[in-house]
Amino acid sequence: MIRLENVTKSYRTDEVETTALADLSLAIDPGEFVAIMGPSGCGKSTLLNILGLLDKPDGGRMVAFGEEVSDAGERKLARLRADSIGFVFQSFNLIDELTVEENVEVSLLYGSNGRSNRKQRVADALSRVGMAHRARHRPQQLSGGQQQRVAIARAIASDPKLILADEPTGNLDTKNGDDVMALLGELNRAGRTVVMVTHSPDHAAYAKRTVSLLDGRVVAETRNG
Amino acid sequence: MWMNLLTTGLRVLWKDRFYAAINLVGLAVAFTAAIFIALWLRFELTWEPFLENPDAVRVIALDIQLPSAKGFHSINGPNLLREELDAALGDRIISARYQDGRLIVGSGDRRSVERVGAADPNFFRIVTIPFLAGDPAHALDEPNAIVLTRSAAKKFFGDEDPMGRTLELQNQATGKVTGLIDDMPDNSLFRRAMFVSAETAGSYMSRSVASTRWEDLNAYTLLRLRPGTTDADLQAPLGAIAKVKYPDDASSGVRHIFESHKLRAVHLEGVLYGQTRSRTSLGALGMVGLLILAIAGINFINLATARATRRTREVGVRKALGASRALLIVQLLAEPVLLAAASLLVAFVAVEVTLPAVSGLLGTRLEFAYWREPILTLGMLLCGLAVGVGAGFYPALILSRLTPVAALRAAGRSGGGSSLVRQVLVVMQFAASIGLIVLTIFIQRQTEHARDANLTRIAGDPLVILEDLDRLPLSQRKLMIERLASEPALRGATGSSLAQGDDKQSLSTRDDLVPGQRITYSVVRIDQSYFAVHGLRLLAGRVFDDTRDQVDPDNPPARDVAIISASAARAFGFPNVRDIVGQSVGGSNGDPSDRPLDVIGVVEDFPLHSAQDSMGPTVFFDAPGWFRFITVRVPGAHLRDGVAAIDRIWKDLAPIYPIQRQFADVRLDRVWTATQREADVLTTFALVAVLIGCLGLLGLSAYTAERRTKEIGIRKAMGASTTDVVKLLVMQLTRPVIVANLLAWPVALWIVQRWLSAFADRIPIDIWPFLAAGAGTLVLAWTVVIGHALAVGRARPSYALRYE
Repeated sequence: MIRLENVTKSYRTDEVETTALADLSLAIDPGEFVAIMGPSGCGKSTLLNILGLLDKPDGGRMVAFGEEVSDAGERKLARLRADSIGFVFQSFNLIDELTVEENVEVSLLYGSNGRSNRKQRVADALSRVGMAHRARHRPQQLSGGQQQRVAIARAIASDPKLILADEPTGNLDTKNGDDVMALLGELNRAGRTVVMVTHSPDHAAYAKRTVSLLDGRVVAETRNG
Repeated sequence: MWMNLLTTGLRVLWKDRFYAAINLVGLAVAFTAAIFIALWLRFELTWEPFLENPDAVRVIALDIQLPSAKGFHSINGPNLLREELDAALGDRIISARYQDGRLIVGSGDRRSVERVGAADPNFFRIVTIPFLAGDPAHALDEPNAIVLTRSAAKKFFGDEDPMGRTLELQNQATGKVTGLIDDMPDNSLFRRAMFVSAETAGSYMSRSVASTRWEDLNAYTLLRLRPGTTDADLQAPLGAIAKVKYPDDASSGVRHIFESHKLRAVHLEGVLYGQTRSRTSLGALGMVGLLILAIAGINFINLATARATRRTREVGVRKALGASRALLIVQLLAEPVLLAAASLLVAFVAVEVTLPAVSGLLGTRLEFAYWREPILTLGMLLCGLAVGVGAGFYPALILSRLTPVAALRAAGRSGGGSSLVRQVLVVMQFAASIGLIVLTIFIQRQTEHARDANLTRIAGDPLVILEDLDRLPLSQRKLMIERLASEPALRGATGSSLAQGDDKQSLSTRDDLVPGQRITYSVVRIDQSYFAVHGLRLLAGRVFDDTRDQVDPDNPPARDVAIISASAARAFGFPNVRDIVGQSVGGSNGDPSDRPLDVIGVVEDFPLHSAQDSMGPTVFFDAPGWFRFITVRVPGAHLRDGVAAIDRIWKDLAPIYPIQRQFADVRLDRVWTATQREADVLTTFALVAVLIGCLGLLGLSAYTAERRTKEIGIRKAMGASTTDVVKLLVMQLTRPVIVANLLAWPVALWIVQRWLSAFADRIPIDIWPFLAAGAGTLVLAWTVVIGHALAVGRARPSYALRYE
């Protein structure tokens, strides 16, 4: 589904250059549930951003959904994001000014969905995560766990092939964290590919494969169960 | 602790250089504009700045009302009015006449034409111009006494002491310098190079200066009311004098009314010829100044409050560390007050630097001596402080009230409520700008319309007008015209009693032309070449033939041969103007001065005497005895040769009189300069207002884009393209502009309607200026916003999402 070959990425500031990814190669196959682990600053989030087409690698090749994207234009990347990828963030990243259902709808605005079709999909996604009853609330009125569920609803509303989750449980307590992981597992079993960055070995255990990063390189890969 | 406040304030400004710069520039430009407007208003409201006790000084104007034509005001009155007032009021007033004129002034070989004022001995006791040398109370007592301005003294006597020296006046008299004054300021009616004693000026200035006819209006009558005398005391004698001296008023339908005006304000009363400035236009300018300040102030407050919300985290931390509320308020106030103070400083410098250039633009010397103007300076300082405190106070109050926990929690979250206030402020600001633009478009178009209507007539080859012909004897005038007309380098010459752009007119009122109606018309004396030289079309009949139609002044005919204007033909009862040709009108009432008019031709209407009013009914006679001007048509391709030929011929025939010539369009333009300048000034300030508005919008759009960075990142992660993001941001700022248009249009329409209604010949109100102002502001707003939208839209979403 996504293949990275010898991908490099570094960040430059005025004083220092930090290498986030060094010659990294990785393949994600359809239907997989991959956990990415590693200490702070090992390049997990950078990798996820590149997988999600939010950022471009400095070097190497990248093929996503059968298309060469290493040097694809902004327009093409935006279309791929709209059609094929759903995001879940650690800090939820819901838009404060919009209601729950409007937030979910945002993921459908930039694809090719009609208005009534959008309404239906939003309702489906919200009931799927058990948040249909809070559709007209604002994000601030919800607890952290509830907000993350809304974020997941937003990620799945457009029915993407791939869901990327950046420490989805990082801001949640154990109970809510477990609920979110259960939800992700369920989505994977229903056929979606999930790639997740996490610090928690317990949550990594939900995945079928764990990739460990250190200093921008893959240092270990383990298959679970 | 204060140092800490100051450094934080300065660092916050430095960190947000962009906003700080926008705020600084916007506010500084507004302050600069406001100072200029204040200076100009002060200039206009303190004419004759040297006047002692200005409230006691009056000038008597004459309001002449006509039965069938538009009447007029004249600040020039009859020569004898002063004597009559003296007789009636005795020592309750000090009185003096003042007359404008031009004189040939000579010293040794040096000769030049100077603008002079001829005044009675009391003049300097009323118009209290400070003397550098001589005694103001008695400077004009002696015959042919001269009071010189500094630059005239320098011109004739160099660096030598002018006192007691002599000058030749009009090649006919010798005057002695008895006083020296500084050059007159631009805001004075008496901007002359020198003043001469009026008593003896009649002997060498044009004869009309000494006229004792009450119909000849040649002199200002100036009064200084002694303590205890009021305007009410003037009313009865003025009324009585008018009644006695204009006995025909009751029967002729013409009314002469003497009015007393304060000298300092008379230039705003519509009494001066060519003076279009009025209290209304000054008021409008003042309003624009306030509007500019308001727009800049709104901007400043808007941006300051928007940015202050970003300091919530800092406030939370400081509170948690034990800062008191009062201290926090002071801290949050420090930054905007610093910024406002800096703007004010920049504005003061900018005014100093640009003052000469702006003075040139306005055509008046403005002065900015802030140490001499404590009120203006203090006002601006207070204004700056008010804007600074106003901008800082609201956010300071809100932020300092938050508990530390609430402040920390609110950090990074955008304030929903205050953004509505901001939107409202933006809408108001744009509405004001749009209204100003619409108004200035109409003012410019109306001004141009009126001006073009008057200038079209002299299109083609340029016309040169020779003035002051009445100095020459009649035979010499005729010879001059003949020589000019036959000169091969020129395309014709004609004599006339009036020339384009003239401030005089000769009116006649008769009741024998149309039964039961009084008709007033202008009388112009011309020769046979007049219409050809001016390129005017005869609608019917023929032009004059000098050999047949010319009036001999010593032997006036029993009937007048006349060519009349189309509007005169209609006024005389001939709607089809051709029908009047060959007819004889009037002369049936038994009054020997109302001779019958034998109409031989009808000419199209054209603006002649006053450039402001369209031409009323006009009757032309062939009467060279009245000529004051020669108009010469010069081939445009050989202008230099033509003008040289004119000068040569003049020098040949009138060597002792320096030639006085002007291009006709310059004469007409002079009348329009004031109006045009006013329109230009208003336009400039309107553009300043719009510019400041746009600066504010720029800051606000940057702020909005920044505030929405996270949201934009999310949307991009969801697949929004750059175009989607730009559309989103641009639309957000389009709405307020559209609402502003809807609010501004009706108000602007109402003002434009009122303003235009004062003009007789006015342009129609169409929708284009409104659409143009609307579209213009929209495009401008987009231009300002789109840069930020693109920058944010193009940014990698991963960057946007990390932001917070």
